[in-house]
Amino acid sequence: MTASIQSDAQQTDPLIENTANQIFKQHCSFETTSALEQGQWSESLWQALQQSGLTSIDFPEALNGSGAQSLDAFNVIRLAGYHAAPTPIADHYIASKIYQSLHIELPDDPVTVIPPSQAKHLKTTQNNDDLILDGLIKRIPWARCASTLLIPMEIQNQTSIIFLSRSDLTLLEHCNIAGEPSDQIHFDNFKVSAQQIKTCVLTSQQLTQIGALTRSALCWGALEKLLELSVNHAIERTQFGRPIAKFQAIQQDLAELAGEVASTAVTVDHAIRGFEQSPEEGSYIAAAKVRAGETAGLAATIAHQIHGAMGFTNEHPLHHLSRRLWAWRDEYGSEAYWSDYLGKSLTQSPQLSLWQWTTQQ
Amino acid sequence: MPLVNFPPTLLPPHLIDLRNEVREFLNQEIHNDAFKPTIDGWLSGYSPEFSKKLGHKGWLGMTLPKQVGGQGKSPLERFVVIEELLAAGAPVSAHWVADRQTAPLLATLGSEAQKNKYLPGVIRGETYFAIGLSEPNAGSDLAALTTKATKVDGGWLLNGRKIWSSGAHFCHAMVVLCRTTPLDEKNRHAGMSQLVIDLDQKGIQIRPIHLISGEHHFNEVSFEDVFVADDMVVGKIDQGWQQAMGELAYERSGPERFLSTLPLFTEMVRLAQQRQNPIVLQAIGKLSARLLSLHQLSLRVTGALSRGESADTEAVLVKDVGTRFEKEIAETARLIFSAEEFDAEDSDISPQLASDYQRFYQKAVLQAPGFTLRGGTNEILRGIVARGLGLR
Repeated sequence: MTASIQSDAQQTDPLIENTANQIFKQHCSFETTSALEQGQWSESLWQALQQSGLTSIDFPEALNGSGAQSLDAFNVIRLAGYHAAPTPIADHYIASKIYQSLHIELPDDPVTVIPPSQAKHLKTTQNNDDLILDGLIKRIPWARCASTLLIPMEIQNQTSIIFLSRSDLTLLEHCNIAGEPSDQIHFDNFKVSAQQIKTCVLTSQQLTQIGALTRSALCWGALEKLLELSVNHAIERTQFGRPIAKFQAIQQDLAELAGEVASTAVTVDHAIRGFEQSPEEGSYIAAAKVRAGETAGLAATIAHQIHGAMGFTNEHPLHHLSRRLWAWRDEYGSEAYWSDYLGKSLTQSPQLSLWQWTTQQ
Repeated sequence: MPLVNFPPTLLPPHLIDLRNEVREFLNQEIHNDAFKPTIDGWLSGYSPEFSKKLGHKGWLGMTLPKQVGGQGKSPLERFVVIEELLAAGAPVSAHWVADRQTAPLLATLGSEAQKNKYLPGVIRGETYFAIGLSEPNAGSDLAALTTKATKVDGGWLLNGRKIWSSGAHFCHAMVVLCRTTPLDEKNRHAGMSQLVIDLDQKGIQIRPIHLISGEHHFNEVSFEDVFVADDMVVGKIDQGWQQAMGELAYERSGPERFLSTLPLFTEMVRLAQQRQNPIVLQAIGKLSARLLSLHQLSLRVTGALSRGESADTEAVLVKDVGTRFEKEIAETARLIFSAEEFDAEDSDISPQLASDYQRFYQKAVLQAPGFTLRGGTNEILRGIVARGLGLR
């Protein structure tokens, strides 16, 4: 009866998704994720991901990357969130965008980026050809597992990237609220040679946006898993002689959770697709991070309520997801930061009206 | 596969053109003072002139098959048109029910006589329908309805009462869901039928019921021995429940479930250009993110339907999230710009902007209780979502 309309939207590659899912399933047991908090990260998981090309999905083939779409790279990051994978794939992705912009090959070992919001606390002094770094930098994701650390700095109105080898640094090990590495470095009269500094076309703001998009994708995956766990628990757990899923109070909570998770999923997906089209645009990423952050809190609350006391213990896998959501919602800008950013972009000499912005594709 | 699925939908170029064409037309209409944008325009923006203009443009009955005078367009084309109409706060209530659910129902299940009699008028924007589902004692529990039709020679005699029938006082006809076989408690959904009733007949009384805003949209419609000819039965006798549920699917998935208060949000953003502080900016940022998410959800549901995929749970879920958002706009509006701010004589906000904002805000608040009731309460909707999740 009606004209048939095909979905012209780009599709994620099922082969990449299946490969990633298999690797994550094989390596992300309750024990390996727990082991991260005892200081053991899963090197074998990294090896498997790296050797399958999953750590360089949208990196150019000419530079030994896999040359696929960014859509697939973010799909793998989403799956890492789903499996609460103890691996720095999201931070390595941010680094890969720097390498790509500089046209240099991406290392096989993990590289991490010091978030621009932290890097700006560094004091720099020029000393002949060297740059001297001073200051305590906190919250560096996965620093202890990385071979290379990148510091984005605004030097003379230009974004420069400082390349550091981890072996030259002394780390203070810290963790985020999820027990993921979130280390500190104390720079004290630390010399960096001119060869270690490269100017970069990506601005600190753009790197922050990419970082926020990786955290949004991680949240998306974790939220999907959280919803699944909660639904399954409600069906399996029996009280008063019937599954708690049969109680309307539980049904109402889970329906609300499903709605917010879906709302977040489509917003993050939309931002990822927007990133593929125009990588410098920040407003859709802002919307994604705002939705992801808001839903992270709500979802963790509902999921823990549904799971009862058992879900509140270390023995149950729920906390691998809920604690990650609490961590990721604050990394690379909370809802406060990104809603402010989005509010500004829609009201300070906006290019598009609110409705044009909403319907733009 | 996730528990609920919203596959991406991209509008093809001709639908982007269509969107721009509708947007251009609406800007022109507003510029010419043909209508004043309003909150909840699909319930309370009554303008037969405007409805006829849309009919003339070919923007009514778009998805109806060509054989009945429609254009055989996909649900996505209609989606684009109505999204623009709602976002602009256009007065679309006269034809809303007819275009949204009655015409598709009649085109699918109606007799030739029904199609010939009603569809051309719907497509021209001249024939309007009211909904005949709820009754005084059958709200969320619709199957408890007691309006009944009794078989007589050549037709049926209808007796009973329908309530909350928006626009029945200006509508030409109503599709009434009624009992044609007495209630069987073991199979409550059996034995109901849908009849098309012209509302100007003998035996019909329409009593206005005013809303808390004082506006008149609701009515109570009573039927006393109203004769309905056999050829005014829609579809099959005793299959009315299934048919009406199909009708509800049209009712629940559309963008009117998140855009009812958009004109207020648009004004909020305009005001924020003059009054910037972190609270205002953050509030606008959060609402914008929600708006984008709802546009995407609704677009993706419509895309799935256009491709012939099922999206029942997803449609209901969008209505739950969307109607809460409609309320949130009103609640945010009062917090970020208080009425007192506009009262100062030396205010930098123009009196026009201030008064539009106040008018939209008050109407949004007064209409808000209805957002999460009409077309199925959010509690009922969440029950349906729960079933989709496998909980019941």
